[in-house]
Formats: sequence, C-alpha cells, structure tokens
Amino acid sequence: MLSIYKKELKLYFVTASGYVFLAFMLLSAGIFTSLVNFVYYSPAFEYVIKDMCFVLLITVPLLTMRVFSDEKKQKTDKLLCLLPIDVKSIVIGKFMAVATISLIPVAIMCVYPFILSKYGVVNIKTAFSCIIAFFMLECALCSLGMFTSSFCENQITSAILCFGVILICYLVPTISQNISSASMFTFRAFSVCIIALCAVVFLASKKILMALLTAVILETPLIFIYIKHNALLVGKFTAFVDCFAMFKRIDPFTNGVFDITAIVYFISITALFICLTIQYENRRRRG
Amino acid sequence: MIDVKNLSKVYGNFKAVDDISFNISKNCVFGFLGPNGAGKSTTMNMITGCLSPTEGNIIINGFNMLYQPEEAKKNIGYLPEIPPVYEDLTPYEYLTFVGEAKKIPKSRLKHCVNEVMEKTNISVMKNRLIKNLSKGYKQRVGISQAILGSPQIIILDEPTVGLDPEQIIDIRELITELGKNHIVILSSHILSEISAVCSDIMIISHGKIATIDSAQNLVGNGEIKTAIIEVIGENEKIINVLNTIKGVISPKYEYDKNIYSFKFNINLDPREDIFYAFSAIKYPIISLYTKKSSLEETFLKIIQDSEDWS
Repeated sequence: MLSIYKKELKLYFVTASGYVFLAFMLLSAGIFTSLVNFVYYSPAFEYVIKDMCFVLLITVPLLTMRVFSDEKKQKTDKLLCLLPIDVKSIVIGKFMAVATISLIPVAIMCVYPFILSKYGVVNIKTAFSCIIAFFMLECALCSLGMFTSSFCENQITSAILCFGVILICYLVPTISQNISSASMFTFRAFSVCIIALCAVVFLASKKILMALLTAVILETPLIFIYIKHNALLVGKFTAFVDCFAMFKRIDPFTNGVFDITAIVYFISITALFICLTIQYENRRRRG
Repeated sequence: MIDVKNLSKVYGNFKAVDDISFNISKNCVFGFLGPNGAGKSTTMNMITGCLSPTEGNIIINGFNMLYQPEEAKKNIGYLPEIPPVYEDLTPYEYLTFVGEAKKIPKSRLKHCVNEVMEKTNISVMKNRLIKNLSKGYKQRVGISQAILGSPQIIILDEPTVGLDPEQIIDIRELITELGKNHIVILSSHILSEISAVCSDIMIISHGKIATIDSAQNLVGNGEIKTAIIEVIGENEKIINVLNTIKGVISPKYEYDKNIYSFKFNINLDPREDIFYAFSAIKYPIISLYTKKSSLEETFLKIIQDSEDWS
C-alpha cells in the first residue's frame, strides 16, 4: 500500500494536476477570504469554508479523474494486477494519496483564522470545526470521484461523470424543496427508483431472475405500505433525497455546532465508495 | 514450478481457453506459439494472475494463484505486449516503485534496480522521463520490471517488438542467459526467434494445446527425421517395399510420381536396408536424403491439423 501511495503522490507532482489543484484551491480560498473577511468586514471564517464547498465541484473531478482511468489508458493496470499487492491495498493507497493532496490546501487554510484573529475577534473553534468538516466532505467526494474514475478509460469522461454526480449532490437541497410530499407521489417515485435499481442489478449480474427478485423484494412492502398505511409514506421521498445532500451537512458547522452525525455520514460515504471501488476492481479482474 | 491444470476461460458463449494442462519443472526458455486469437495472451494473463480462470488451477512454486495470489505473484515477472510503464516517471523512479511493490528489502533495492538497468542497457537513460524514450528503450524498461527481484518465473510477451537488430540480439542473449537460472516463458510471432532461443515449445490453437515438444523435435533435429527418396518403379510396389523395412514410419507418395517421403528413427536408420531392398528388385534410387523442416512449416502444419480436427 505504501508503494502505491508514494507512486501516486509522486505522479501528482511530476504532472501539472497536483499543482493546478493546489493553485486553484488556494486562489479560491484567498479570493473568498478577501471578499468575506476583508471587503465585508466579517470575522466569520466559516462563511469562507461554505463558499469553498462550491469550488469542490471543479477541483474534485480534476484531482480524481486520472486515479484509475489513466492506469487503463496507459495499460499500467496490468502492472498493478501482477504485482503482489491486493486490490484493497491499491484502492486504499490511491485514496490516501488523493486525501493527502486534499489535505495540503486545507492545512494551509488552517493558518487563515489566526491571521484574521490579528484584525478582529474570530471564533477559532467554529472555524476549525468547519475546516474539519470541509476536509471530511472533500474526502467523501474524492472517494466518489475515485469510484467514477474506476469505470472510465478516459480522464475527461471520468471528470465529466464525477462533476455531474457532485453537481446533483450539490443541487439536492434545492430539488428536495420542490418535491411533493404526498404519499401518491412518494409511491411512484420509489417505484421508479426500484425499477432503476433493478436495471443496475441486471446490467451488473446479467441475470434477469436476480433483477426480478430485487423488484419483488422491494416493491411488495412498498405496495403493502401504500395500501394499508398510506400516511407512513408522506414526505419519505423528500427525506430519502436529502440523504444525498452532502453539501447540506456542512450547515450545522457554520452555525457553530460540531455535528458528529455529519462526520459519521462523511466517513460512511467515504467507506462506501472505497468498498464499491474495491468490488468493481475485483470484478474487473475476474473478467 | 508451474503446474497448470485443466485451465479454461469462457467469455459468454465463447471458450477462449479450453481445458489446458501443462507443467514446467526445470529452468528453460519455453516458447509459446499460436495464431492470433488462439488464447495465448488469455492463458498468460491467467498464469500471471491478471485474469481469473473460469475453471482450473494454476500452481506457481507450490502456491495456488487463486487462493494465494500474493505468494504466487512474488515468483512471477511479466512483460505484457504493451510495456506497462508510467510515462511521467523516469526509469529509475519507475523501477524503484516496482521494486517496493515487489517487497524487495530497502537495503537491496537500489542495487537490484541498478543491476537490472545494466542488464537491459538502460542505465544511460535512467533519469530521463519514460515518455521521452524511444519504443525500444520503453520495451527494455518493461523487461527490466519483469526481471526485477529475480523472480523464478519470467513471462515475456513479444519482448523484441520495436527493437533494432542489435538490441534484438542483446535481448535474445539476455533471455538465453535468464533461461539458465529461471523458467522463461516467451511468446512471440517471430518463429525464428522462438527456434533460436527456446528449448521447449508449446503450440496453442483454438484455445487448446496443439502440441508440446522440444524445439529440436519440432524442427526435425530430434530422433524422428523425415527422409525423401526418389525411386523409379511402380508406385504401389515402392510403398509396399518401404512398409516392409524395419524403422520406416508412414511412407507416403509425394507430389511427383517418383518422389516418396517417410519418417524414421535415427536409432533404427533404415537407409542401408532401403538401398539393398530396391537393389534386389532392380528399382534404381535416384536420390535419398533427410529433410530438415523449419519451425514455420511445422507450425503451419500443426495449426492446419488442429483446424481440420476442430
């Protein structure tokens, strides 16, 4: 794992991608700090972090697009297969390298609240809890980006796909506000989701029976609840959609609350996508 | 040291590799031949652990590739058709990474990297980015990663592609040298290269083994030889006479009316008996000579036979 980590880290700095990422993050942090703290005279560094979340839409695809897709393009994925390293170590090594690069601008940003405190009263604890949450969010998004990169052979395709998924996550709060909470709508929306899930199961397993079984297992209780306990479904789809609102989880931190549930959420998302990447890579090796 | 048992790989309804079994237990250069799409690369990918087999087992130095992949892979070095090199690293950085991944102790790593670079003559290029190297040098960087750490089994897929004639000779010498202390599996479409370097050859066709034999036997330098005889006389009678002589194997009528061919074992050389047999019936022998077949002819014949059989 250490050899993969070192190699990945080196590749970021022998190519422009690592420097571009760092430059873009630090430039954005500088602009937002100047605007929020110096132009509008606000002592709250947490608003800078909140604005910085938007920058992740661009920087995360930039950082993660080459992680696996470039290996496939250069045919070095075969080298990784034949080295005596298991898939788990490869994926974790690569993720650790991405997380390390992500940590560099975050570590530099840690100095900003102290600089600002020279000119006014800055709530250091809130600022740092926000920085921690920001880093955790970045890690979760990076694991997602790494997963999208694992099934693309082209870096640009990987970046576009990653950007699309992160954009959806970013827009989820706006989408969920405009979703009807009526039970009829919830039933229909969940049914469509189940059909989509069955299609994914079929494409992954190539077994129609497994897809049908998934449909029956999920759709039967949904129909039962809809017929017998209609009221239970009210607002549930909105709540379901909110699960994907990763960026919304930063809000409690900006309000001065260190939200442990959000930290657990970010760690869970990170672990989920790392596991999915390991599964996908293992499956690819099986041919 | 390599024991492949009942290896199969199925893609949907297509059987790319069909129940292949072979064993290589002594250090040698083992040639792997076959037409495009015969299943060579699939077999090599399965042996190196890059691809899981649908059925069968691969035992490398006592380790099962399916259940103990890490231990098995420690004994294998592989150069795929396209060298798996990181273009943005220098050969030294790349080989250091491969060495670390192969778990070569840190105290020996630098020495091992320098040693393989010297063996493949890339020391002068060690600090240049791989993307700036010629195709031949990239190929040699690929060979370096395969032999780094001196694995017991070295698998080379088309190792001389893109090299100039001088480099080809160097690499062939290196392969021959490696074959003394390692098992080297060499896949190549250049049959002259296979016959020049390999001691044993396996020909694969339609996912099945068409033949495994020593290179000597396949090119006609072994115990069984083919002879061509030109005799003037009746066709049937000549065949009958040849059939009665001890040591003559499957005599047959060739392309011209007086030309016949047969196989014989050099330990039971029947040529003297043939002379007296035809002399007795007053059939003059115009010529009698042994034929040395090229690997190309043998390869084409075996592939043709396996296609007819399929």
